[in-house]
Amino acid sequence: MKVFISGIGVVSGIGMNAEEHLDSFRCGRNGLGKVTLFPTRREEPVCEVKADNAALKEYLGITSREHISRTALLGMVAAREAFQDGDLASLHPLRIGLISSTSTGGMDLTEHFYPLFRSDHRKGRLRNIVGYDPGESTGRIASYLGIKDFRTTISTGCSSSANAILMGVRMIRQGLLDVVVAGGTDALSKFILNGFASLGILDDEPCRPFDDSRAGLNPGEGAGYVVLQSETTLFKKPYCELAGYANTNDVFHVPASPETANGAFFAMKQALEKAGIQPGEIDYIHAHGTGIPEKDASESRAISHLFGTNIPPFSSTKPFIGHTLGAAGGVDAVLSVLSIEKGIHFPNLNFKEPVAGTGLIPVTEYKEKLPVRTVLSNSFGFGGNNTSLIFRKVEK
Amino acid sequence: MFVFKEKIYITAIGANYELDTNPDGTDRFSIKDSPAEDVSTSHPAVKPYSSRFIRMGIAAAMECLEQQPDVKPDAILTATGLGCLANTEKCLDIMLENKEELLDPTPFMESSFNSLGTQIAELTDNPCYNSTYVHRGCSLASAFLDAALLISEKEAKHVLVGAVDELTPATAAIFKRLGIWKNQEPGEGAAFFMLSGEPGENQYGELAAIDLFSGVHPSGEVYHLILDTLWKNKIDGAYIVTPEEYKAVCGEYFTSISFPVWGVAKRIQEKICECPVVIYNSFLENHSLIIIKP
Repeated sequence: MKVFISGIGVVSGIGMNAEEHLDSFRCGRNGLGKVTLFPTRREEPVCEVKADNAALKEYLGITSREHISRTALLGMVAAREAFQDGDLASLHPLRIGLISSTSTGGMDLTEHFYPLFRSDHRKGRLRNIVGYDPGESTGRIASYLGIKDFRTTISTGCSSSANAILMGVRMIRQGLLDVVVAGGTDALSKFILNGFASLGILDDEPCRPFDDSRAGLNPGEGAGYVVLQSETTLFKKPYCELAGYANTNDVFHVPASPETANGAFFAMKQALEKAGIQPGEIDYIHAHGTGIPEKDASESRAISHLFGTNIPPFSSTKPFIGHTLGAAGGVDAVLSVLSIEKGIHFPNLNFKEPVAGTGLIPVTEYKEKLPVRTVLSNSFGFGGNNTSLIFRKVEK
Repeated sequence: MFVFKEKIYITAIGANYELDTNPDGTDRFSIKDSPAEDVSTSHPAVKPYSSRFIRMGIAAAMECLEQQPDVKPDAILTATGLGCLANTEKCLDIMLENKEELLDPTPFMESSFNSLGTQIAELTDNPCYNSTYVHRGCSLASAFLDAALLISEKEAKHVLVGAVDELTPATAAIFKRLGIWKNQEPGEGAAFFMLSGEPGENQYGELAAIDLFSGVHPSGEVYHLILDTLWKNKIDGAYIVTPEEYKAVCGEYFTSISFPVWGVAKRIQEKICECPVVIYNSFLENHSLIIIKP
């Protein structure tokens, strides 16, 4: 059974919804800046959603007294847009599920709790710790949207929301659910900023994915959700089909040699096989491209290995929105849907020279109305978990 | 309720639980000493700097895998409620003490919720499908559902599924303040299972059905749902394992349902249990039901 996308919702440092994102891309406006959400010594560029928690609550129509983590709030914003876009309120009595994901959960609130708690276990406000785990934001989103039939949470680092979408497609194909709101959310936190810094993968400049001078990533935050729907329950023309998907896990973090096919290669290859299409049919690759030197090199090698001399147009949007961590797959899914809907190739900002030894040159100019029938979207976590999704235009 | 048409066999198990016998011959479950900081009691595959959470998980996973050395799983799924808490605390401590300088990457690397799953993949040289469910009391049921789906889709013949949750002094203190330990003692544990589309040498039972849901549901309502499901699917003579029954032994933690699943599987394999068993878990408004048949 085919599974289609009938709704999209996204929030990030360049917009509160899909339309604002398109506007930012058209104007070449990225969302990078210094951290404003919390006091920190770190000065590397990040990409914050341009609304504090009070503004997000107002946007959601929630009273400001309600104590909710930023991760949950961002998730509610994007999931609501997708829910309304898919007109899900009218779909009763179909079986509707929510598969959400996050890598940091309620860490933004935990950071208020822990400094007090660690010296005295009687201290720290409990309301800042009850939402620590990933399941909390999923529960909040499901309650907010009134989704009752099924809910669960996936957390696999940067591939999280792509894996949520993958699971949603499978549950629909197997007849367990009719509709799934699938994606993920992550909010910026001091913990993540410092965690990445400890790994030496933060760039103190705007990131340059697939560029020879790339030096690391810019942390971001946001949420992205798609509404997956079975073909038998569609009542309006969908955006596109979710035609292929695959997940692999690296068995070593850095490939042994440049020629070695790696987990990224197999994720893309298996997704193509699932969709029943050849590499030559991919019109555009929405790459993961974080700017982390080894990971971009690995993704480049995988692309070269798979596509040979016919490399499709490809780019990473992370110089615009930063790396939204667990939400990246969901955000990229929404952008991939827009790519098909409006014929877009997104530009890969800050590119000058290709990664040494690859010769791969990404798209550098925003264009619309191009023939984009199939898009391959990659989410390759630096922990080694790799997911590729394939989106395909609905032919009349 | 998700009822599986295809047969889903439990062909191997591994856990840090033990089945002992009381002096009077009755069963007694106990928790094996967790391999704490002593490297020599950990599985040889474990990295020397690994946290206790990882050690517990790897030990249980390897015990499960080693029962069928010729079987390489087609998927690795893990479940946890709170993940690697000790590592997360360590990262936060270092960040606060060093005022965001001189940070240590080691605890951060293992703090992500799927770090156990990826480490099992690396240790066993297996690049297969790998996912992690972190949805409170429904985490293991979610992972079982994914596994059963893979087998039904014929995407996998064998799936390694496991759950780990650790108890740290911080967790115990926080849950105590939240009043969680009113009815149960705090607990922790690790258990892994191999789910297969064909029977193995060891017969630990079959996974017949799973349900997971949230909200306030009185136990009467849940038992009605259980009885309804059993009746509709013609499952006769089932024994219902209540949360109170097993949590008196393993304590309360998000993935505590792994303990009775392990116990039932073991009893089926030893032919002590010969009837279908419904295992029910309820914790903080998340409910799971797992039905196992001999």
